[in-house]
Amino acid sequence: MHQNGSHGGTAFYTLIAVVLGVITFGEFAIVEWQFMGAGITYTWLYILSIIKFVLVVAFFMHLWGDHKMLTQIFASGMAIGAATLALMLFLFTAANMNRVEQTRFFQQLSISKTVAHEASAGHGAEAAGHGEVAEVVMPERSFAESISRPAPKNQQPVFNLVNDSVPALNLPTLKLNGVVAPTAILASTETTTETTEASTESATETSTEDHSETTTETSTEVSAEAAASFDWKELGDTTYTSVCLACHQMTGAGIPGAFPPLKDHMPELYKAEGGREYMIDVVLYGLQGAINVAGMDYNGIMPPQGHLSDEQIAAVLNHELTSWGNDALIEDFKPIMPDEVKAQRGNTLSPAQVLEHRPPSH
Amino acid sequence: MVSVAHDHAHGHEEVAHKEHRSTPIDDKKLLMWAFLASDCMFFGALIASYLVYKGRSLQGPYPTEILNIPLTTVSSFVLLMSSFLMVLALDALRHDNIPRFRLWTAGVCFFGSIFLGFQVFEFVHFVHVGLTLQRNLFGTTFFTLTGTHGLHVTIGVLWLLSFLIASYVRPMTKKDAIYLEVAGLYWHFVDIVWIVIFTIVYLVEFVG
Repeated sequence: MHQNGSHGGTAFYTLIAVVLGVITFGEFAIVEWQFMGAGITYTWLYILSIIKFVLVVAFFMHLWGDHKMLTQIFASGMAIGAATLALMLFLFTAANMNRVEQTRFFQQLSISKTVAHEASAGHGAEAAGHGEVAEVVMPERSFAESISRPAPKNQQPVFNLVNDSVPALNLPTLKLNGVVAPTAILASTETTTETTEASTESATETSTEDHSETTTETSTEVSAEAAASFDWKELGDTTYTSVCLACHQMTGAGIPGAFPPLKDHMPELYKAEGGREYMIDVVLYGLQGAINVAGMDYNGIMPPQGHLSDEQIAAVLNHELTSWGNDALIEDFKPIMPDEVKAQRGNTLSPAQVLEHRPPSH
Repeated sequence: MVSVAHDHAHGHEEVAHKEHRSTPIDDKKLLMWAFLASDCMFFGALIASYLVYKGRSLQGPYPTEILNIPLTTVSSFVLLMSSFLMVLALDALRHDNIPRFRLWTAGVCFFGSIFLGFQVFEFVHFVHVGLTLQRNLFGTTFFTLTGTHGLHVTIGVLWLLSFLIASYVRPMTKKDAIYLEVAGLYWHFVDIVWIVIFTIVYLVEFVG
């Protein structure tokens, strides 16, 4: 019983206790006054907590000098615990790395989109001869143009692959109607499939309107001239991909019941009185509360994105207003300009207050 | 956890069986260390959950808005000092100094209760400002982690309280020290878990 010898009696333990107390208040001082750089502060905090940990385990728990086997048992438990921690951090980081890869992938697509636009403007032969471009354009067509034209069957797998992986990786970070998301992963995969089907259906429906495509081209050309000074296309695309896509999806269809669609809905807001300001407010200050979009009830929260620049917010709104066939629903589109966003910044609304400014639904 | 009374009933047979052990370590102590090792994995998983969801809450209250560092520093200090008193209590029992043993054990229970009081105050305050288990990822992971730790502290206080009561019910001698030692190991473990939580959940949040 006394193999775990006392380490010098009360005086020694008192010393350890004093050291532990001093370290604890030292940690407080380090954090409270931040007299060191962030990196050094982190390092010291971890070092100090390890010192406290070791002092308690070695001397208060008498592991120092006790039977070696006890140390081994405890160390194995610690090792497994630490490994669990490291592994989980790694897995979640890996999930994020995948997302960066996705982002890169989508950015690549947006570059090819510009090339595709030029190609359709009259340099068709040139672009067709460019094998690399033609290859990347294929999946992009199925996203953006499936709205006006049904995508050929063989392109669907690309569409599914990309779209399925997005919510599966991002949803654990989200909260759907009070239910924390990990439980919703399975469900979300199902809804995504539904979304995919839904968008294909709507694509078939809209394809009956043959002239819609020509309207699209002319309206974007007009707006491009009007806003020649503000080049929002690429900025809007990349901003959407990195900020909005996780919830509102590549198709702009959102996730029914969880995240409202932007497709078909944005033009309604655009046309409503005060709609321009409202859309800017939603991005700047978020939105919270019960809304109904296309017959579906939503009662969630959109986080404020005020950290984005005026240019990014204007660009991403223009991107949304002109994507997924939305441009066909707006006549004479006047792009939202950074100055308009700037003008809304002084309001400082809460997400719930933004809801009060929502134009009445049609 | 085996009750103290039950442990005492077998206390005397223990001595007779000693030579049949494959290790020189007392069974109860070995069991406690094995349990603590498994508890390491348990808290490892809870801390990992907290860390992977850190900074991913979509709505407030966010950690930096409501965590109270001065308050938590004091409660951390209180818990550390309770560990110190635990060592003194065991030391006193080993020297058959029953009055001192009672004093220090009562001290551990008192300090442990103060810590729990701080935690109850903190939780109630958080709920008042809108942070609940369901509110956001921070609420879910924070309450699960610190709540589980609080449960450990509660069990520890009750366990040590049972020693205090037992010492009035029947005579206690240094032969009983092994039982207090095992309870003490548990108590110190609860303390080191808090050392980790205090740094990872509270302090680091306010750097930079």
